[in-house]
Amino acid sequence: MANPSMILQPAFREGWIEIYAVFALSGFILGWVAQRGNYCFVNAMTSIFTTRSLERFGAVMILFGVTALGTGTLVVAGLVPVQDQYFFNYFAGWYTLVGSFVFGFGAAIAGGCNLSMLYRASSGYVQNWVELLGMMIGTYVFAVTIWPFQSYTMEKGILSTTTGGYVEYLPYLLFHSTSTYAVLVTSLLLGIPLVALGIYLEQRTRKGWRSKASNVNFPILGAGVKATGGAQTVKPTLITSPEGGGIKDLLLLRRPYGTNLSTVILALDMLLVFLAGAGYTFNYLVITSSDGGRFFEYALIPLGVNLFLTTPWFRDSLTIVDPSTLMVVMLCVGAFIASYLSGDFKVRIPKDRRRLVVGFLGGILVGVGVRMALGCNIGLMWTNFGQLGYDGFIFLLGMLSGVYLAVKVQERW
Amino acid sequence: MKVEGNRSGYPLRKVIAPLILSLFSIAWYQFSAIYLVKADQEALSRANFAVYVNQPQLAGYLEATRWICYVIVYVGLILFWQALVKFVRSREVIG
Repeated sequence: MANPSMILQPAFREGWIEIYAVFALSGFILGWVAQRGNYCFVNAMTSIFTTRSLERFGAVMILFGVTALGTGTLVVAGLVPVQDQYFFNYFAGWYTLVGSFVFGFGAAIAGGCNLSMLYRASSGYVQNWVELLGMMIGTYVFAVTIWPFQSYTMEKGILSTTTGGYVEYLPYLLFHSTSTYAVLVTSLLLGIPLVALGIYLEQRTRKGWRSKASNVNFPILGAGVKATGGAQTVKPTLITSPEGGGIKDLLLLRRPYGTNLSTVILALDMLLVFLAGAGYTFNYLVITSSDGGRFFEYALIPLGVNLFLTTPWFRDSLTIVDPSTLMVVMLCVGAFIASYLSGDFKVRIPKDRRRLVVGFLGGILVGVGVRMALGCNIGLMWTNFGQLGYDGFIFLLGMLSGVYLAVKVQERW
Repeated sequence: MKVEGNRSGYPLRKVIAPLILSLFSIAWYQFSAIYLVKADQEALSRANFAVYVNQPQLAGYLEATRWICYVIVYVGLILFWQALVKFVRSREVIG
C-alpha cells in the first residue's frame, strides 16, 4: 500500500496577504481573549498542586478535546485535506519530554507560560518583560549548545523518530489509514474523553467550592462577595459560575471572561487558522519560535548581526518571516488593547526585585525548554491535539512534572 | 464624559500608552520593509533556502503589515485623543 501523501493541499485559493491577515486577526483574538480570561496553562497546572483546584486544568482538557473534535470534523467534512492535518506533525523523542519538563519548571518559577507571558507583558507586567528577554537568551543558548547534539540524535533516530508527518498521526498509527473513517473515529476517541474529563474536573472543583461556601460564615474576599448591610455574605452562583453576569458587561469589558467562554473562543480561533492556513503554512496557533528566536534575531539585525547566516538552528530552522510573526505581534496588540480598555493596563514592577532575577532565569529555561521540545504549550501541546498526534500527551506529562517540581522548590524557599 | 482618576487626576500613562502603540506599529512596518527585505535578499544571495522567504509571500507579509499598521495607528490615535480629553478635564477639576 502506498504511503500517505506528504504534499500540502490548500483548502482555499487565497493570496498571501489574506493568509497573513487571518493569522494576524487570530493572534489579536488570542491575545484579547487570553487577557480577558486570564488564561494561563501554567496557572492551570500549579493550582492543581497548590490550591487543589482542577477547574482551570479541566478547562485546558476541554480546550484540547474540542480542538481535536473540531479539526477532525473539518477533515471529515472535506473542508480541509487530511494531509494538512498531519503534515506539520513534528518528530518525537527524548527532547520532547526533557524540553517540556524544563519548560514547565522554568515557566512556573518565572510566572507564566508562553501565552500568559506575552499577554501579561502587554498588560504592563515587568516581570514578564524580563521573562521574555530571558526566553530570547535561552533560545540562543539552546541554538549554540544543545541543537547540534539534538539534531544529530534526530537524524540518527537515537531515542527519536526520524520523521514526523503521518508517521506520528494517530489515525495512521491505529488504523494504518488516513481515510475519513479513521480520522472520524480517532478524533472521537481523542476528543470525547478529554471533554468529558474536563467537565468532570470542573464540576468536581466547583462542587468543592459550593460545599465550602455553604459552610463558611465569615467574610471571603474575591469574586462573589456581596455587601449586605454591615455583613458580607457569599453568593455561590458568582463563585461557581464565572460566566454569570450580563453579556453587556462582558462586551463593555466590565468583567473578565469566564473560563469556559474563553476556552470555546480559543478553540474556534484555532479552527480559523486550521482552515485558512491549510496548504500554505503551519496551520495551527504557534507562538514559540517566533517570540523566542525570531525576535531575538530581529533585535540583532539592525546591529549588523545576522544569526540566520552564522548560528546553528537560526540558519537551518527559522525562515526570515512567516504568518506566526504577525500572529505574535497582533497577540501583543490585542492583549494591550483589551487591558487598556478594561482599565487593567499598568506598568507593574514587583516590590521584591528578586522576582525579576527569578523571572529572567525562568525565562532562559523556558527558551531552552521550548526549543528542545520543538514547541511550547501552544505550538506543540495544544496544537498536537488538533493534529491528532501523540506529542501533546508527552508534553503534558513533562510539563506537569516540571510544574510540580517548581511548586515544591518554591515551597522550600 | 466620565473623568476617571483620583486626587492626582487622570493617569498620564493612559495618555502615552496609545501613542506608543501607534509608534510601535509604524516602527514595525518600517523595520519589516527595510531590514527584513534586506535580510531575505541576503539569505537568497547565500542560497540559504531554509530561511529564505519567496517573493510573493514576503510581499503578502508587507502588504498585510502595512494595512494593519494603518488600522493600529488610527485606533491608537482615537484612544490617545479620548485619553487626552479626560486628562485635560481632570487637570481642570484639580486646578
